Amino acid sequence: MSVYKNKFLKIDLSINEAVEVPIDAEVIRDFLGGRGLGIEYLYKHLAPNTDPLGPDNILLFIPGILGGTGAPGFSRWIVATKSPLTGTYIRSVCGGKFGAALKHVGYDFIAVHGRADQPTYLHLSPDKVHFIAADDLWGQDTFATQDKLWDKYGKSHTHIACIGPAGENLVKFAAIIHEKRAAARGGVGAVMGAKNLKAIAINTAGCVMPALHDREAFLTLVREHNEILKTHVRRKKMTTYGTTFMTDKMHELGIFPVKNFQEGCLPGVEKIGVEAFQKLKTADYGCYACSTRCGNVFKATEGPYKGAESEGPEYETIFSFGGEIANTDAGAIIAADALCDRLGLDTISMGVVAGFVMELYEKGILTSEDLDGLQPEWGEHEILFQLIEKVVKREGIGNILAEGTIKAAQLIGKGAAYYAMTAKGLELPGYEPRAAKAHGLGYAVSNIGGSHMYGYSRQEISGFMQPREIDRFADDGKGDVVGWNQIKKAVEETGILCNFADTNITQQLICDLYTCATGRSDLADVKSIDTFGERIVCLERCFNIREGFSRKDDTLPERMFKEPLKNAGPATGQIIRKMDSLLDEYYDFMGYDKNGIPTVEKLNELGLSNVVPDISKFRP
Amino acid sequence: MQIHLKFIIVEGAHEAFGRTDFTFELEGVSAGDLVRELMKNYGSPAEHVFLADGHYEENIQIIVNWRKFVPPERMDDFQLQDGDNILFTHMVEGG
Repeated sequence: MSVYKNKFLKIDLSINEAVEVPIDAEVIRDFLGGRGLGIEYLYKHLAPNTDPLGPDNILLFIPGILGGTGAPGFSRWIVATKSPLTGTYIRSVCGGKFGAALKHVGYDFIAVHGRADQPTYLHLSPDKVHFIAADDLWGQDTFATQDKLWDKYGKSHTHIACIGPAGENLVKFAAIIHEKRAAARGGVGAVMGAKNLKAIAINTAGCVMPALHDREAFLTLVREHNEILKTHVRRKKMTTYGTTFMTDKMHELGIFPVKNFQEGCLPGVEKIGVEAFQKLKTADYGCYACSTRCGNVFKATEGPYKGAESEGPEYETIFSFGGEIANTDAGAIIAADALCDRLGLDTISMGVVAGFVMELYEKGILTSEDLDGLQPEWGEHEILFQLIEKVVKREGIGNILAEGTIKAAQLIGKGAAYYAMTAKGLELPGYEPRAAKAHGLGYAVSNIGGSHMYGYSRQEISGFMQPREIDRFADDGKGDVVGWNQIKKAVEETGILCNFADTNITQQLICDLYTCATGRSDLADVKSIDTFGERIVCLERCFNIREGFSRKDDTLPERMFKEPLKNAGPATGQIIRKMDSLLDEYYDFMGYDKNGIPTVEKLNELGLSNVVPDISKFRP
Repeated sequence: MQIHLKFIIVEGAHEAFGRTDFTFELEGVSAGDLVRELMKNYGSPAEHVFLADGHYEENIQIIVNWRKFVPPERMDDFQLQDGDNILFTHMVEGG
């Protein structure tokens, strides 16, 4: 008996076919679960140079090994595909209850192939898949879509992932929304829209919990862990504040990006700080079986956005709709966050796009004429809403911005690319690379582009001392730590463990939970389990190499190398001086050659010999 | 020596010290001395800030000059300098 279902559901929207497919035992043995199963499938079945918005792209919905088991903190689920924003592999992670529902309905993942000839949604229940015309849902926002489906199927047992108008209109940074949470990054919503797939609704009525190899031991571990969490200070902080406390902390450390990463000081930042948001908190929310309940519901109580309510914003959105555009109106952040959830849009990318526009306007590269009459001055939050609407409808300048910052910069020309704050085309999150250089390296070498969650460098943020201490301002000496973080993160995302709910979850506890759930003896040891993470990261890199990515793409915006950071308190004057050294360190640690390509020895060591011929032609 | 202190989202700090951003005259030399002197000078409210079950609350982190993290087990070995800036905050992160 094991937690694995040993099968996935293959959907072909082109022919309205749903087939249960067994998963090879060797695949589960080598790739463990969650994100591992995702990259294994995409590498094997997605041909290089596939159009991300064409019918041949594949969209995966993946729960973790422990999804739906009740293990607290393991409720995340992943969408994996080829990104239309970056052209790389992307995995976008979301919370809520959809991950548990995927597992409860009986699959280790769902693979969506093809393209429906008309707007469609899927209704899944145990042993049944219905393809249903979505004409009445197409054009609806994500909240209305979910409400309609809940009206039809009942709310208590129906769990939905859907897109809004942004996904339908193929905005390259469209999100997939579940309840009020987002699998946001990399344009996964646009892939769903390109497939004419409006929603997946899972009916879990009559479903049973996943089987567990040693149920008693598993539940004992869960009980003991929950007991610790009850009084744990970090857990209580997360419940109380969510991630809003990060604004104060990052601003104090000079890490909070301001005005499109030009500087690090936002006058009036306290208006969007932790205490300001606490005054607006109305409720909290927890994902499936999670006692941390870090989801905060905020409601604007005054000003032009009075009454606006959102689950969130998280720190990243406070950065993107706050510091990035020099806005200190918390109500505007709440309202914009809610609007993006409703329309199905990544708030990080949208905010960075808005900051990009404001800087181009400041520099005179874009004029009011270019911007359909808009005058996007810093801090003008009303403009943000107009930009969001234009992007989602692809109206005027919005049609260019909907392509994402990098492509928009190419279309605009006139040196606009210098102001595009992305890595591999993915807009940067709220950690200034010059003030936290392991974060900077992490963005550069991430296989999904500028993401802080591909291997969060907590050593720089909370003084985490494993694998060793680092100095965030040091110009080099970070490659091994960034690689270590990526590997650990990949292991956690086989689970799939949440960063916010990982209080007191040690690597050993992960191993123990996995062993009890699966019965696998090879998962008992912390060191050996890292091999799975290394294999996953390596294969994701090979996916990108096959798409033509190489060392030249492992980089940061030019600004980071040319402009000392301004007005950022203790981080003022910091700059990225030794990018080449940092890359060499990282490649060396990971077993990649000077071009960032895994060596034959490393591929063989990780059991990826089959990949060797695929990428050999990319070696200079 | 004079040490500048700042507390961010540390519960009870404002109540204990009357403010969360101030300069403190330290007689000792280490980060551990600093915490002990704060508790001695400000009494029980400060103890509530720093202690859990009689030990230093390990979730409250110490950052020296916005750059150097001092873990609880190294507090007594970490020497402070006149004019240092100490940030007390919680060991929480995320985004």
